[in-house]
Amino acid sequence: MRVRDLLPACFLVFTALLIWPLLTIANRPALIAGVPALVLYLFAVWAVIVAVLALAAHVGGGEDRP
Amino acid sequence: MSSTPLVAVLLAYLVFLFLVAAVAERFGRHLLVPRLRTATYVLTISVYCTAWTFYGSVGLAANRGLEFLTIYLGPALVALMWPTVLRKLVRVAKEQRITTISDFIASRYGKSASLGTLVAALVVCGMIPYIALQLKAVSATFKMMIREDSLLSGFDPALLVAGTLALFGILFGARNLDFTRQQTGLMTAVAVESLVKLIAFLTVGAFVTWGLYDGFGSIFSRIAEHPEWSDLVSLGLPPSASYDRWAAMLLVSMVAVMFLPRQFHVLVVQNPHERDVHTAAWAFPLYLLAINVFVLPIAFAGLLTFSSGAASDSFILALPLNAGAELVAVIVFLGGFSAATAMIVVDSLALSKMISNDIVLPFILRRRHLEEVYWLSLAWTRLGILVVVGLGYLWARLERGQFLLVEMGLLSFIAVTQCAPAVLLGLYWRRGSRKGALWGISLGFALWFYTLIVPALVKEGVLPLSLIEQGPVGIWWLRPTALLGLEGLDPLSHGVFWSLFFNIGAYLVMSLTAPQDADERSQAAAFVGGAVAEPSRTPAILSVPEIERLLHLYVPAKEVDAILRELLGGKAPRELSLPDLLDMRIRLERILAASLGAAAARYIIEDRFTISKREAGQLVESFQAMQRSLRQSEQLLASVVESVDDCIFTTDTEGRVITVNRAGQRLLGLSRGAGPGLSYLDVLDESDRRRVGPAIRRAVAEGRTWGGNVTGLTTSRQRFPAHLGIACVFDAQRRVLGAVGVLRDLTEQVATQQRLIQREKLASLGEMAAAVAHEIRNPLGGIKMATRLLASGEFSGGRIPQEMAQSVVSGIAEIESIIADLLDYARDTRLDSQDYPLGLILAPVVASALAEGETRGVRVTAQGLEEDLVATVDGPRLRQVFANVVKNALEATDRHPEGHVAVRLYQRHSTAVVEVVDNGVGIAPEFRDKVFLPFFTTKPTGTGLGMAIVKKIMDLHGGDIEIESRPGQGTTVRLSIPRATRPAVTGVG
Repeated sequence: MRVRDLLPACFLVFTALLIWPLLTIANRPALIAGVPALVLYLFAVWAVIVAVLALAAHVGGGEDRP
Repeated sequence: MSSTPLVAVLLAYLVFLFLVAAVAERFGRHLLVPRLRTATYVLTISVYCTAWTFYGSVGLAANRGLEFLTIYLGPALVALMWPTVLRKLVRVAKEQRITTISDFIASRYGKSASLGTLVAALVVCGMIPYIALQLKAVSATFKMMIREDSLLSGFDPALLVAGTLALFGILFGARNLDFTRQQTGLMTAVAVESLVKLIAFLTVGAFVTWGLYDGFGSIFSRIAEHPEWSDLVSLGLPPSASYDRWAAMLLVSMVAVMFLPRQFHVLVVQNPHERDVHTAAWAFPLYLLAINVFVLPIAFAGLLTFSSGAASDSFILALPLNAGAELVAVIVFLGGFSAATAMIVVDSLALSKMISNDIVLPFILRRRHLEEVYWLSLAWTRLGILVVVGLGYLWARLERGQFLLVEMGLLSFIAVTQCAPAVLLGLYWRRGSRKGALWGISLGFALWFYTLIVPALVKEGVLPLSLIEQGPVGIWWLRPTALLGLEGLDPLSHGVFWSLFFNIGAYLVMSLTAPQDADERSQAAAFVGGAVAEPSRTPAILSVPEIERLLHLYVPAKEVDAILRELLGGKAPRELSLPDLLDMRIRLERILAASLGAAAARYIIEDRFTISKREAGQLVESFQAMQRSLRQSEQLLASVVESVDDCIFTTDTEGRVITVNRAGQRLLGLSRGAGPGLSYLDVLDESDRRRVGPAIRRAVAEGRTWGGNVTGLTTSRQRFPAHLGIACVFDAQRRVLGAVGVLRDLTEQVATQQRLIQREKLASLGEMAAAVAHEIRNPLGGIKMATRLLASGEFSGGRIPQEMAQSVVSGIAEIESIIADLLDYARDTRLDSQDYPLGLILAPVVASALAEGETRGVRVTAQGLEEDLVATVDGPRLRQVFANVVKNALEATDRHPEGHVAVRLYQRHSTAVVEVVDNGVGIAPEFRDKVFLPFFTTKPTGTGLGMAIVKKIMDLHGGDIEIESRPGQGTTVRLSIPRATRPAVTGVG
């Protein structure tokens, strides 16, 4: 199965990660390496999204690359 | 900082942008390698980050914490769907040459001009405040940069910037009406601006984080020490966003990143290649991530420095200014400036296209100023840019409210979100209809205005506060922020919920209940994909000269030839078939759509076919006359077919009967209306189906005719002799459409034939009786005379009575011989057949003929007797036949001085032939046919039954007799007998 075909499922998973109720897990007054937990969590999810999409663009659709 | 150098920097930057655009426009096509092209595409999408991002994000973060992130997390999330959804959107838009979001919706729902106008008007209204916001940002930050006492303290750069940007848009964007073409210069400039704002933001971020503080940790830990600000890094507690507001903003920004006019323009219309979507899907969220990394540190540093969230929108500029870092401040200013200008240019361009194509053009077309459409519409596009920027400037000047930048931007976002159901559902759901889109968008915008704009106007003091608290005229369930009593949601998510609820609800309900018309169905099929809908209407076809005339009207003169060449695709106008012309028409419509929008293009093409009332009347009349004459000839033909006595039926190519005339129904015993469903083989007897069925099928397949005698079969299974003729029916291209069959009942004819044969038989019987009587009368006469003489007693004694008695006896013998021959002929002969070599039968005949010939002086020769030709025959009877024929030949040559009889045995195909040739007297032509009649003879002796018997025996053997003869030259008799395939017996019994 191609990575690209999994993207709609990823969309649902990451959306769930970024709204209530899952968001409440990271929503706590704690600093991790000097950065608030929620801020770190949001940026981490964001970075993973970028990584997944970059992966999909490079291995997901061999027929498309120039 | 004094204002003069700043103005100089600002002007220099504008000139730089013009230069970049000009160079890219001139050389870009050659310079842009695919990788660079993709990078430009990604950077142009980043026009999403406007001055609102640049200043507003920090402001929002300082006041409401993490909420600002939704504006960028939404796009990052929806990017996961880009490889599927955006890619389809791009593909469809490229196919249909879509130029704006309103054009897309109009085109999807049957090229509806009214829908396009509605969407365009609403979107333009929603976007003007957004543009105003950018201009405000420019002038506000400019004011911050200069000292109050400066000479130019009264100078507002907003007007300068607005004018310059309008000029920029006109020069590099609206060069050409066709927006689907790559606007290389403009897009490159926008990409450069995206780089500038990113670099500026990262620079100031690094300066604040590491220059003013000791990294992220130090800023965050110091803000944690302030209890009034520590909740800014959490959610669900005031002042930070509630979870519902968070979700609503995520949703809204997911849509906005694709459907804001400028986003649609760079993301979809200006997409250089479908596959670039995949790169953009990860690179664009990465860009957003980078530009947001320093938002929180800057906001918190601002709070720590200025110890209040007031004027937080300008923290990013105030921090370096406060620290005396003028260079950083200038960089920030330029970053914000480029963010604002890029947005204004692209947005005004996209909006001007909407104004021109969807609002102004329908009026021009209604007034039928078709000749000037191209220039009018180009002028209106350029004017549209001025109008949009001008309105934005006016709004910025008039609006002195306390709105935060973010609120204004968000309202624009939600406005454009109202287009999303019509676009997205329209892309995947075929039943989505124009009525649904019209109602959904209208209701969505109405609710948007009521639940979001009205409360904002109340906040501005334009409307009374009681409207929100008690509802209009005290109707509590109509309160704008608690519609139908829905409370507990924050105003923004409340507005998003209700507007989308009514929008999607109306869209679904109307689509499911109202039927689509043909235009909608065909466009829905084109957008959603799958099977093409039935042809929506009689396709209009344009001739090549007409197409050329249209192009001259709607395309710049210098491009007409190139477009025409592309349309013709290398074919000469004469070579074009009808499908080619139809295809050309569709492509022409799309080319026009790229410049004028789908609805206008449809209108212009269809307009070629508008005709006056009088012309229409004439057309209808001549059509009716044609129909009448067609009906008459059809009736004539039908009555001919019905009046014929033969069975006439038509079949399709498979041989299934379609129609049968009345005579046919009678003949076959079909009930009225039956017939269809039969095959033509069903009218044939079973053995004939096997015999002629394949031949008929072959003939029909090859388009030939077929005819032959068959045995017909009625539905009551009665057989009748018939003649069947099948002929194919062709269309204009000589393709077989089916066949026509004529089945003629031959029962009558066959009966007549048999009666005739009977009569002939009787006649020949009579002839034969006469001949027999005649033959018998001669000897009887002799006998009568002799007996009379004997009875007279005149010759008693002596030799005479003895002679008399002798002649009586011979007369009786002759009569006996005649009767014997007659019996022999008339007797029901049975053959006792066995396999014999014919040579063996022929040999004794030849031997006796040789002896006979010697006495008569006739030369007899034989040839081929040794041939191994075997036949199933009655040997003795066949020998009689041969003997008879040879005897006739010998008698015919009797008096010939060089008489010659040749007997030959040979093989011809599947028969054995015995040939007897003589050079005797021959047979006169008038006697030729009578040779085989009993008692016919030309000879003085013999009964004349010989050849009749020969004929009879040959018939019994299934053989054949041929006679060739010329009087005085001789006769050739050929007896042919079917050969046997089995080995033969060796002797003749």
